[in-house]
Amino acid sequence: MNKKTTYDPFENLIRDKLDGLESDYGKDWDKISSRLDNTTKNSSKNKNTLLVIISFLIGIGLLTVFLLDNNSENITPSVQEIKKNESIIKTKSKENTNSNTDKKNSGKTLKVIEVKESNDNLNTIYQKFDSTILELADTTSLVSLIDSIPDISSSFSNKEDTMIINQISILTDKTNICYNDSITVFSSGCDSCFILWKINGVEFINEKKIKLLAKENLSIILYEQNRQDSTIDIKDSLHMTLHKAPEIEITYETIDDNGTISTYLTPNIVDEFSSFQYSFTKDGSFSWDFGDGSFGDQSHPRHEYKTNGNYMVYLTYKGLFGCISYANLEVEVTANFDILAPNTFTPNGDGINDVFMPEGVIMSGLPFEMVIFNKYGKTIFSTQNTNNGWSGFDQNTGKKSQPGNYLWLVKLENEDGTYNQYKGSILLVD
Amino acid sequence: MTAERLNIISLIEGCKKNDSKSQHIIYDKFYGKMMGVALRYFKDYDTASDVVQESFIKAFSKINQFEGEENFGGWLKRIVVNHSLDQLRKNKKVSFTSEDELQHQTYDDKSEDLSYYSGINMNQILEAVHELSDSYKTVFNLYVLDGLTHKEIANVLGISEGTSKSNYAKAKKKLKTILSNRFNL
Repeated sequence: MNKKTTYDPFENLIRDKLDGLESDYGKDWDKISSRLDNTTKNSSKNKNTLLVIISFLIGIGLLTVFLLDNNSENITPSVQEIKKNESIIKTKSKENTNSNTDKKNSGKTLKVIEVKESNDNLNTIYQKFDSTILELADTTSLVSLIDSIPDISSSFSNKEDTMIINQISILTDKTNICYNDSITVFSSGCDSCFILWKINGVEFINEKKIKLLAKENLSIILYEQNRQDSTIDIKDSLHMTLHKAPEIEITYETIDDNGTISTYLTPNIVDEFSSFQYSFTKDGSFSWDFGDGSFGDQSHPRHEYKTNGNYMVYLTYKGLFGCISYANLEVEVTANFDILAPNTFTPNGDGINDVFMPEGVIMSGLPFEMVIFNKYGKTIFSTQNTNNGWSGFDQNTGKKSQPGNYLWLVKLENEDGTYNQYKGSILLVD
Repeated sequence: MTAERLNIISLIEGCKKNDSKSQHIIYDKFYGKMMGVALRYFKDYDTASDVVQESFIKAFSKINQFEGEENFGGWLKRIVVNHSLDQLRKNKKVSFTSEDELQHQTYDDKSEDLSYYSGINMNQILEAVHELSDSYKTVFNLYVLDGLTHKEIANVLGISEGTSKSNYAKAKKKLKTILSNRFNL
């Protein structure tokens, strides 16, 4: 059985998961010890008598030790302490197995140092965890959330066949965790068992449900403590990788293309989450609110604002694992829109080009005022209604104006209450 | 040398002298883990337990072959794996499809994202493994969990290396399908 290294992540995952598989089902020493006696008795009658003598001597030795030691109570707690330490070292050394096997022959001192180091590491993890990782939400929301979670544990154990019944395992309400998500972990399988959680090194004693706020990867180990000899066994473990949508910001550019004002919006990753390479546009979906009542879902949208103004653009980005990030940006549009005014019109009643009303004013749908001046600067016509354009008449006299050049002024009211003024001249031809 | 390892070495020395107490402690210490090994081969707890019991008897009777430098857990595990294979052969359940059926599928494992699976717990994975046919399950277990090479698997099971590879590839694919169907990934 040679050791081989595989880099297949799926294999590694399965291996990690099933590595902790243990069961005491069918454990029965008496059943095999009787058979062992049969196989060994024949060959070692002499040895047996020797064993009796040895154990007798050991027994006497132990007795004297006990008699000499008046404080026999002290023995029990110290034994427990050692056991606790062992369990900690065990879990830690699991991660270090690769490095340990390389150093098989490197001697005693090195190993002692390693154990010390792993203890130090644990301590730092404890502190880190205390300060940052586990932030329990305020109690009211905590209670309501826990109450609203359907009791998966009961439905789960009912569904499974008999092989699960004696197993205590970890259940969660989420399989993927995003940064700042709240998740709840449950123990299932044994209500009366005395259980112990270790979540990123921090211990929780006898909790059925634990609510966590995801700030880092979560490493969850579930132990059961044997009531009789208070030994601790790993029952299940779960590693949850934290995901996070990248932080993004928006930049924009406004381009005037022959009077059509296009605003180009570009999202950029500011802080890429280091754990994996992110294909920003391929792996996520975009949802834009352009701030003028219209929406879009392109990654790099081009938007035409109808009028000048300041618009707050909101972007919701949903990345891998459904993790979401937001960005917003105020876009300022100050361009001179083309109001598509003609330079000539012929108000002769033939139905063709009889009325002067710039097309852009009609298209904008905005409140406006248009005023026509004669060459002396006198107002001869004004309107605020697109259906009521200038058909060449002087409003003051009611007479048709002479052919020639006239000036026009359009005041367009933007949605934010500001005005844009446009002016030009129009040639009246009979 | 850690206290634990020192302890095991002295216990093994005890076992070599047929000391029942040492045997009992070793049995207690390793039974659960060894059940974990057998349970990957047998869904039925009683069968798995029988295999583990037999393995311990074999281990204690052959403990003199165990070299102190080796990892005792690994040695014991190998006995359990061998016993499991014997048992499977006895049941004559295992038939391996030949390598002709090996299709050269290219798995895009690198781009595959496994965090989808990370929320699945041990028992759920074990269940999925047991949904595989005995032949797939055996090859998968031997290769992934018990660390044998395809050459070794071929040797142990009396099949060709190609058959081992194809069974493994199919087992892996099937397992992924089972897991993703079960958990709607």
